[in-house]
Amino acid sequence: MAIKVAGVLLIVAAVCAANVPGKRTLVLVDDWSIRETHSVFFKSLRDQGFVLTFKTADDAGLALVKYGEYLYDNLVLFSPSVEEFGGSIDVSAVTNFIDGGGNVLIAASSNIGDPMRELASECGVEFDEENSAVIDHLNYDVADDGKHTLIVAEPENLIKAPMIVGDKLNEPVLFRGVGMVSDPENPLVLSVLRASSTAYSYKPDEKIDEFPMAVGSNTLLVAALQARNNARVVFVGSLDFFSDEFFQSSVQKANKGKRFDKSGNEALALSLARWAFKVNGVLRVGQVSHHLKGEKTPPPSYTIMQQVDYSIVIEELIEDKWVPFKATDVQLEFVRIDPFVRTSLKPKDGKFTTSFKLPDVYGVYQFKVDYNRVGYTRLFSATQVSVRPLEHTQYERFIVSAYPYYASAFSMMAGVFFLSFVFLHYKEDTKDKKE
Amino acid sequence: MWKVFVFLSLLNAVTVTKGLVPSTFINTSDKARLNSVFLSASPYGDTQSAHYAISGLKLLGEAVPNSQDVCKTLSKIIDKTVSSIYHASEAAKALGNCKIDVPEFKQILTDVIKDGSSVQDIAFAFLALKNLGLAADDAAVSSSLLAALKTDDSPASHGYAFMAAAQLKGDISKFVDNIEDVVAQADEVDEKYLQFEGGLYVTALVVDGSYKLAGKSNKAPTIAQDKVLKFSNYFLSRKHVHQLKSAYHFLSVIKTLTTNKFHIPIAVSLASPVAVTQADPAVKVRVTDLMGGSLGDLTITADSARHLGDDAVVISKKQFSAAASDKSLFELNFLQAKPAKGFYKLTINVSPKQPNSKLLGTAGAEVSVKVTTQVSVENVELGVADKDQATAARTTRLAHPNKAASILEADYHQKIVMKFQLKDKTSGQLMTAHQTFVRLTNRDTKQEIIFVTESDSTLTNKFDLDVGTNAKEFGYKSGKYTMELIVGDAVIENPFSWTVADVSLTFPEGGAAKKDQVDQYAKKPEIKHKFNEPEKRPPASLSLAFTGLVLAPFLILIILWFRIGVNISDFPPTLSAIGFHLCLGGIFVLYYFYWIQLNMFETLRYLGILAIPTFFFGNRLLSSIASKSAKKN
Repeated sequence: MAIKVAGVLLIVAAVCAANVPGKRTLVLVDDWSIRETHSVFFKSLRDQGFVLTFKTADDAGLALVKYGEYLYDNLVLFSPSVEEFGGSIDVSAVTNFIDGGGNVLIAASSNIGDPMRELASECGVEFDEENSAVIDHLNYDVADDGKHTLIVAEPENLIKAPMIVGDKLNEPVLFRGVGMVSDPENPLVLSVLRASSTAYSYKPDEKIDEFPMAVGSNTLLVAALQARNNARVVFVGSLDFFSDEFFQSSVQKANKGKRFDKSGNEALALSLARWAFKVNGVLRVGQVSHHLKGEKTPPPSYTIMQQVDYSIVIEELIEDKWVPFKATDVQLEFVRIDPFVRTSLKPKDGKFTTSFKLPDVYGVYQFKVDYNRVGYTRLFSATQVSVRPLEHTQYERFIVSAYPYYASAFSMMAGVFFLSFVFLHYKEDTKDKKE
Repeated sequence: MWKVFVFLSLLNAVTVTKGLVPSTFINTSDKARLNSVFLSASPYGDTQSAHYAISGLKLLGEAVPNSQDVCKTLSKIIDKTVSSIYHASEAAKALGNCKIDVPEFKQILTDVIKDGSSVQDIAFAFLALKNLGLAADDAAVSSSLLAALKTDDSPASHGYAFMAAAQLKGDISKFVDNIEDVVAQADEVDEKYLQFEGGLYVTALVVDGSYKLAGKSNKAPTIAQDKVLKFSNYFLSRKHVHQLKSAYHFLSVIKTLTTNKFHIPIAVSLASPVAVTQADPAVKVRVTDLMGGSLGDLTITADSARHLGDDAVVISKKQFSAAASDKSLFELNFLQAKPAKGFYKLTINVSPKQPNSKLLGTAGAEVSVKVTTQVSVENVELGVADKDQATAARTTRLAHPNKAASILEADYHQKIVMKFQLKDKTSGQLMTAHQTFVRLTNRDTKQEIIFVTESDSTLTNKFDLDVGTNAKEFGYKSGKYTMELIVGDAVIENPFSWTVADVSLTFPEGGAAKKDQVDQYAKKPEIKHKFNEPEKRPPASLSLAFTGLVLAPFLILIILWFRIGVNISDFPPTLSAIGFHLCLGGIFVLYYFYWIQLNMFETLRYLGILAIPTFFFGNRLLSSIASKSAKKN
């Protein structure tokens, strides 16, 4: 009986845990051994509060959607070699998942299958062919097996975005896997980690008879996408990158490089996962207010050239709590088709304020805050107001240049007033004299 | 006839274990890592982690810190479930000198040993009883275990059953017979690994249990030799294990595979770098058991060394010499046979000086090495030629690692030409390399453009850069570029990146020069609205002068009226006359206020009010004037 109760409690607890928003994570693996060989990574995800559900990528019961709702918030694809996903998952299901706001962490390897390549190209990242590897004859690790495919990536080649890659990393990272390229015209794909300029991506055992898909620092080792709906996708060309072995391994470049006792893989992998699964770099808009200077509430409409105070509250998610966001580069735009005013906002405890004079052009405007920085979710707030022209009483009076007009009008009035006396009550003296 | 048979079976043994001999073992850094896994489990939250951590440390030969305190904690964290008692008893046993007896335990444990309990519970209860030195009914345990196995015959259950059966008195043959069936359930991966569903922990449990049971029954377990090697390979591929439970079982099974009476797999690992160079021509191998322990005096022979590209065999039946310092280290001068550069697979045979049938993997161990070479770059010619090749290229010869003295200039009608050869310093022959790239880096923007050079039939590498047609790749950015030659290959010891020359490229003007991309993640430039400038006004003095002019007629009127002496003595002292004029003046005053402060609607209202008396008084006044003048006439 006690066991049954305990069991029921456990199930209840599991169900509750599975409902934690933003934390439900499906992990697809090629084979179960990845759970063991990558246990440190998964453990640290669990420690972050993620609820991991492991499935093999060809499991016939796979599904991302049930009754029109997503079963998971995050997807980890540690199944590079899968030729066909099982169940109802396929490439379009995953892209729909991303369109629906889901986050995906993808690790590839040299034996990358077609679905992974297709998925990547849907996201603007192109993986090199199957069996190719990133080769660097000048920057390989001492533990390399001879083909120079276990390469050492320097932290200087990381993108300068602490939200994505964590605070400054001192140790190089180990990488063994497939290279990627991204379209430089695609602004949404970020080159998180580039290979060094002596690296290239090719099949190690074949002679180079055509131009390699990726050469030099165009070769991406880690790429990231933040879609327009803020869904995040991280591509890592190496599954071993996340392995316990690489996490604990020492790094030393061959040809007498400096030795580091521990690679930077663990720190970088965790930062990448935290970013991908929206633990880091998530912003939201709080209260937005605007009113005339010296007042408290917004008028029904503004008049041109008035002085307006604007404030917006921005919060950042840190450790599952919304705290005031700190930044000095938030800008406000006052837009009527084109921005008329763009000004910086002054932060104070998460409240960003400014005061400015409305333009002298009337129309329907928007107060727009469009904060788009690498590593943060895109923050957008627009508030519509109308700005009308001056009323006839609001124009300037008593203009010196117009004094002749004023004077003529009033002299005319005074003239009429006096003339009315003269005209109505004039007594003809001359007539009397004649008489 | 039997000779042939022996030969065949020998051949069979060789092929069976070919490539299966473990190529790694638990070395000191692995031990240190496992040690830290076990140490990090403390302070123990439950008896299970205490058991695994303490037993793991014991297997590593490490002392448990504060063992007396740990013993006290054990009694505190124990609860009254079978598994908790079992783990506590195991932990106490591993600690030694630690007693955790509680009178009610015996009842709890013996109650579980009955038909209908799970295999794990029965095994745990029985083992706990044994550990606590309490009496157990071995026959009952045996029968209930067998009964439970009928309902649950998963490998894990069998593993627990084996563990328990290894401690049972009496007939255990039924369990021993199970070994073969259970092992047959293991899945093979890549023809190299053998594992059970459930991973490391289950696999380790089953194999460990099998050998413990076999040790008890004194009969080699029915696991084929190649399967033992495949299991070993699987275990060693998981040596980076980080979970406490798996780490303990992993270490336990590795220990068993080095100490049991039947099968001791050999690990043949490469102790020298993969690359064999002129400076370091020796291939060193370490031949140990899985824990890195010595296997006694051995003779190690390189059966063959096969080039992986062209299958040429460069060494056959060559003996390694034992290193003086270390009994398990052997070395062989690989370059004596003058092998060509490339990758080689060495097949190694191990034969103990005293015959030892326990050793597995004595034949067919493989290690990979590569013979590398130094490369030099020769006959480098660099120059600029006209595109139409009307004139011969003016080239200069360069020597590695010097940079061309002058800056090379080329415009879009020309091309840059470079020729070079790569020479194997050891053999003196020309060679090709996997990577022979030319990199051009813009001095200002640091943008890099990489080209691949190709070698022709005479092994001369040619690089031909048509500046005009490649303009797009350079983004039409004329300027100074640094030109580097990068040469690298897996078999080249000295890969290099050589700055050949500085070049100055000129591209056609105004080509599709890409406009600079706007960084959408950057702060945008501020915009200040430009207000319309107010129109220019005439100076105040001019306006005032005209004001005076405008007022002048009124003043003149007044003055002239006084001059001629206007007589308005006809003013009737009636209410209507005074009222009319007051109202008329009032209307004009209202107009003034309209100008000063009132708006149109207020003005109209007041005007409406004023209009009524004005009309009334005006009417009366005019009619009175009219009647007056009529009277006069």
